[in-house]
Amino acid sequence: MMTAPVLELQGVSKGFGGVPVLRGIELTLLAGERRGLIGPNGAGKTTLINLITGGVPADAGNILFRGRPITALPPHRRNRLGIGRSFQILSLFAGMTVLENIRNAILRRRGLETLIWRRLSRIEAVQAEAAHYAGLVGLGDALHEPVETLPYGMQRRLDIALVLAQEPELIILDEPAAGLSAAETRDLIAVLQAVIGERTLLLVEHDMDVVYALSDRITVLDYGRVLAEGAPAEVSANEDVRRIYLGEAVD
Amino acid sequence: MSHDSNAAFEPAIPALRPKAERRAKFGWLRAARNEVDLSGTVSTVVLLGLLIAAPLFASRATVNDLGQAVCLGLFAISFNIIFKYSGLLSFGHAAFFGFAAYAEALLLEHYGNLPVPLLVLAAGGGAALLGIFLGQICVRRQGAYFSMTTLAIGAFFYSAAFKWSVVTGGTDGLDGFMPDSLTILPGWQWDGPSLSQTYWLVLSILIPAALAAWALLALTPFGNAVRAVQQNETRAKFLGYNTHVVKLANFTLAAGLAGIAGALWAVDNAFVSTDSIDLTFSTTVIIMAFLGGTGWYWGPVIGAVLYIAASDWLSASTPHWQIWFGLAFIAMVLVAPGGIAGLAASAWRRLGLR
Repeated sequence: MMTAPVLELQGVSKGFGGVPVLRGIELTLLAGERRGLIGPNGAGKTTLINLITGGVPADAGNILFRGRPITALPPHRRNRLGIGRSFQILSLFAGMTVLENIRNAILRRRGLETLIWRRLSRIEAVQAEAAHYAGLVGLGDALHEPVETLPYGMQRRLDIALVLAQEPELIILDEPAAGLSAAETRDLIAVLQAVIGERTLLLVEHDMDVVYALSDRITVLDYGRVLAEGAPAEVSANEDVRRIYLGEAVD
Repeated sequence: MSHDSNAAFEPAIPALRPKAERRAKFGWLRAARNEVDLSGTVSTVVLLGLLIAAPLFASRATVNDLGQAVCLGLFAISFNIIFKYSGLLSFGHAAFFGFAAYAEALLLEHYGNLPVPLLVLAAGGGAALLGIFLGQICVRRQGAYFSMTTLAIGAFFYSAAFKWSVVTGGTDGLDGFMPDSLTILPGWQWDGPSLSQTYWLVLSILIPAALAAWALLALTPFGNAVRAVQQNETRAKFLGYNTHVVKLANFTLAAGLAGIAGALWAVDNAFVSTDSIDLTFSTTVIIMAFLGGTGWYWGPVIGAVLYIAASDWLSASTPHWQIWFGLAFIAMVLVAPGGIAGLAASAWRRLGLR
């Protein structure tokens, strides 16, 4: 088991318009670790993801990826280092097909995305690879469907296929089960368990079934602070967590 | 490429079934269209053939008009490259056309012994460089802010052409810059070229340039990146795309093409004035593009041809022809935002799938 930290947050803070959203966050993800990040609405989970991936700049603190400071890098540079993320609110290439969406990720990873002297349709390896990733998330039969016509649950899976197709070292999933039915959520858990493999995972999710099924450690965020951190059993036994977050759901 | 849905998948997406069936029926047609729009390819080939052969059967006046129309057509295409592929509306695109037109006039005046295609590429290349520089300023801005920035740039270039009369001839413009003998290639010269010769010279540069830009955008990974960035810039960023560079490259391509159009305009007309760089011209190109159709790469050419035709026919009967042209533009935007190309495409689709 590798134990080098993949991601380190050192005293990271962020506020919007003078209102602090995250205060002095310390977070370390080891290689291969699967970390669940939970907390009530407004706890700062999505802001934290945006800070890690470069969507918004940090006000204070350092973010290190594999020991390298990335605090000041723009999103595309952080992505190229190996940080892939999904989106809570679906963010796909709506005018393209399933295959074309995934292809966008693969072309970039292979460094082919701005070639001007080759026909895209003739780069066979990319088409085959895109089909492979579509198959991983159960979209193998919908390769040529335009995204707009895909049912919501399938679009959720495509979102994850885009992340996987980049082969990122750190996968960040922002509420992958948002808006899914119970059956779709069970399918999603099965898909994710099958595809994440040895990669490091940071999972933000409200659905505790998803969190417990996929995380080996859980961090609880509350009012912009880390409230608790530990194995799932420890966290669910924690008095503060029960009181503030899990609340009546546990009682 | 089979579209057979397996049993497990099918119930999940009942809405897809009728489409899938239709697709099976016209699979070959769709497959061809996926790659290269079939109707587009056929009409492009036919139109290009007619265009090249025009001096063989058309009157001098028509050939003269066609020469202007194709230059404006390429200009309108270049405007639409920014609009259609990057979703940005430029109000100052004539800056690149006019810059290259003046540059071409000056190059012909001072280096008239060099091959004309070389001078055209030099003027176009100059416009592309200008595009890199000005694009840095404007493509980071979105929507109205991009448009306002380009408007300011357009106004600046118009003022410069208007005021800097030592170089540009001011309100008189530049003429008499065409050398008596045009060098086509080293060792190949035309003395006092005829109207048809000039027309073919223009086409010999213009058509390859337009086709190359089309191929770049329609077929290559670069064109795919441009479309991806336009459809979802945020996602593209988080997939590792340097979206600024992609948009800047597309803007530069459009500036270079506008430059080639402007340089050829100077060759074709043997005259350059502030008409080719003023703000009115920047709005004329918008009208041409929308009238022709912004959804199809070649659509704006239709608008350019109509513009020239209208300026010929309507101006003979009324001095206020631009009002009628403007009204046609308004009607088109309200009734058929896809322009004439959009109307034709929907008619074709209805025929093709019946």
